[in-house]
Amino acid sequence: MLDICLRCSDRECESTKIDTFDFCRHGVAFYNTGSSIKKKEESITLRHISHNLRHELNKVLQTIISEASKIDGSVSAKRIDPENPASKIVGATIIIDQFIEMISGVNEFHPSSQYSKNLDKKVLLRPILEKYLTVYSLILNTRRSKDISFDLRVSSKTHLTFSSNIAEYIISILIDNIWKYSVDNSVATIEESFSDEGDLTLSFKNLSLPIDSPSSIFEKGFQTKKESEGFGYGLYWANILVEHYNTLSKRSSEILSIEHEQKVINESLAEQVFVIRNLRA
Amino acid sequence: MKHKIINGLGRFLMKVNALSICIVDDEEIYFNKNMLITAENTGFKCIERYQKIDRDLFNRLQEKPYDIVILDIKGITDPDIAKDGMQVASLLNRTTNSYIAITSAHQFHLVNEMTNVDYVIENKLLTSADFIDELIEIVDDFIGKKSTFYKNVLFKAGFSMLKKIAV
Repeated sequence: MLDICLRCSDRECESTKIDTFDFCRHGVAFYNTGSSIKKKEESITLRHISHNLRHELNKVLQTIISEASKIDGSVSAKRIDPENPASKIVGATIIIDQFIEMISGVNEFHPSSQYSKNLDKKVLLRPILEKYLTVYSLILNTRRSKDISFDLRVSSKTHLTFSSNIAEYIISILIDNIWKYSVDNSVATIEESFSDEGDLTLSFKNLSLPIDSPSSIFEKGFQTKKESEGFGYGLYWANILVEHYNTLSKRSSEILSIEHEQKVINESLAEQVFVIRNLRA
Repeated sequence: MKHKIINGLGRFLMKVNALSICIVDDEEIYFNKNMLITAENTGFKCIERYQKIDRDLFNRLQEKPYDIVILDIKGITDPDIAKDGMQVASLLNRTTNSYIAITSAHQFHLVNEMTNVDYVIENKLLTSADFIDELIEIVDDFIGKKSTFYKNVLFKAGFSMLKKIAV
């Protein structure tokens, strides 16, 4: 294990008050006794944490899913039924899995120039949309939107034909955002269109409070307001996934992109439009 | 009633001429007992489940190849057998006619490493029903790619009946 303390020249832990127990900026937990600094654990790199978090918790999540399967043998991680308790357990587990995947994303979505069979897997789009519309409706929180209805203008025959796991993750982030930030009792629209080359464009429209600085929306740590439901990483992460997708797809033009536009309706209402362009379909 | 008869006949034919399937994963919770029972009840009668590839299984995989082999990547081999599941997959792909699928909870194992295999199971969390869907997709692909016309002909007839009901 790498001991960062040996390489740390500033030793900020030594200048802390007596009886301080804290983590320094290198991630080492320490306790200042006054006469010495006791480390409470070895430093662990973010890579180790994220990698092992996924490795260890995946087994726990699979255990939850398997037990839900015993309650009702028909439940599936691909289709969530909000009326079925076993299916809701599966849905809630998927949310945890998505979150862990984001945290450990540096490992999980590292792009490679090597060919992989799962890149070309053909997956129907509409079941993915329906899955996440339901999955994110399961989170009940006072600050989350209530009674959002969705106008889904997507054919049941549309396929994602390239790196569908990345596309699915980007879609799930945009749907989660709709559930987080829409005004109550509003309608959100998800619509597909196709370019002359056959690439898919997906637009997500929802009504929310106006955002003060919409041009920063994809930046890490961006929050609409202090008490925001999000922690400012989702859209930043979506953009990283777009980069990964483009690295894998090796296209020089018609590359994948996400754009955002805000159309202010009045001082307390705006339409947020996110557009994913050039998904291979 | 009609579905019940077709389902029963399909499962009977699949049993008479069963495909041999071998699954190796060190974690018991993946491809667990409940999933295997569901698979058996669906008509996949000949699934063997191992946690590790020892010398005997390693020899068996090469000398009397299974129709389908599903391999985890990490933790299923000792160093004197092979580096990891991917190396076993590569060997079987070159030396046998087995249909090889690999799986890992880590996406980067599936993307970064050599994946010259027939199928990649990329769904990380599977219910028993999802496992059956995945199995049907694998067997369907196997029949199209690696099975000769006469081989497992009864299984194929039974499987096509099952698929019609499942879809």
